[in-house]
Amino acid sequence: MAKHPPPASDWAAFPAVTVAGQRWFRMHRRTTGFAWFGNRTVFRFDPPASEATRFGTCYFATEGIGAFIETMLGLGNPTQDEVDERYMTSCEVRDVLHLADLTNPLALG
Amino acid sequence: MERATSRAPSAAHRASVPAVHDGAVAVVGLGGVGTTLVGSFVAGLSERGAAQLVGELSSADAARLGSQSAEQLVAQLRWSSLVGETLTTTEVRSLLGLSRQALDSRRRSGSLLGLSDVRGMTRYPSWQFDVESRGVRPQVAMVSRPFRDELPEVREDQIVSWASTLQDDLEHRSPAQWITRGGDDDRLVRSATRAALRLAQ
Repeated sequence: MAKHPPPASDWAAFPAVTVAGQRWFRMHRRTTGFAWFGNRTVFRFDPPASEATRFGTCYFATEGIGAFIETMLGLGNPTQDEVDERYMTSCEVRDVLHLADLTNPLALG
Repeated sequence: MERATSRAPSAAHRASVPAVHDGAVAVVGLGGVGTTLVGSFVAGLSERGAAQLVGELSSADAARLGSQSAEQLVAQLRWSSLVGETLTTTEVRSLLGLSRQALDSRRRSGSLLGLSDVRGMTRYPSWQFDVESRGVRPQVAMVSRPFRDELPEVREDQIVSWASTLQDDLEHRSPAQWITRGGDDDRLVRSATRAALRLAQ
């Protein structure tokens, strides 16, 4: 498992991004809810194992095609049935959210 | 079902289908192998006495069935290309010295992956086998386990499909390549777990 840097004492300088009114996408099985939180240190932004009982990470894409690719393409040649048994859910960010920008190189230390 | 008509096909239709004259088939754009393919298809219909049945089709139904046949063939070719070399049940039994029942037991336990081909025969992707030791690589069970844990109804073809696909987290190699080249098992299992969780959620 990758080592994480120690927690910052002051988060003011941490790269942040403000979002509002955006639409985010998730592709998921019809038999499961759209909100799925990873906490197994398997996916890129899952919490470290020590925090796994406190929170998890729900992954969205900013475009539907991104959600499709993230979900399906690593599986090889998905069949039509495998696509059909999933929903593409979009949700709108109604509040103004100030989020940590983990895509910013400065966040990687 | 619409009855067949004797009306000549449109120019567009003529351009998209092979021309058949006295048993000779000319296929534009598919090369010599394509000509053999289409010729064998036509001959297969004839050998099976299907000329009358085909003659009773409407143009629309003939176009639909022909398109469906092509779609199935392309899907089969793509799948074969993805999976790569496979062994028959007889070959695997000979290699491993196991009975058919023992092979079935291994498939049920997830330590061996088999696929049904279009004729219903079982084929085994060859990357699973270590020919030198005449055994099944233990990594097969390692990668099957996360899929079976996260998605009990997972099918063998889904695992094989993942195993045959280049993965970012395996340095853009397929799990099959990773296994046969002796890659790290922990990274392999983590990759399988990621795929299983994606499939399950």
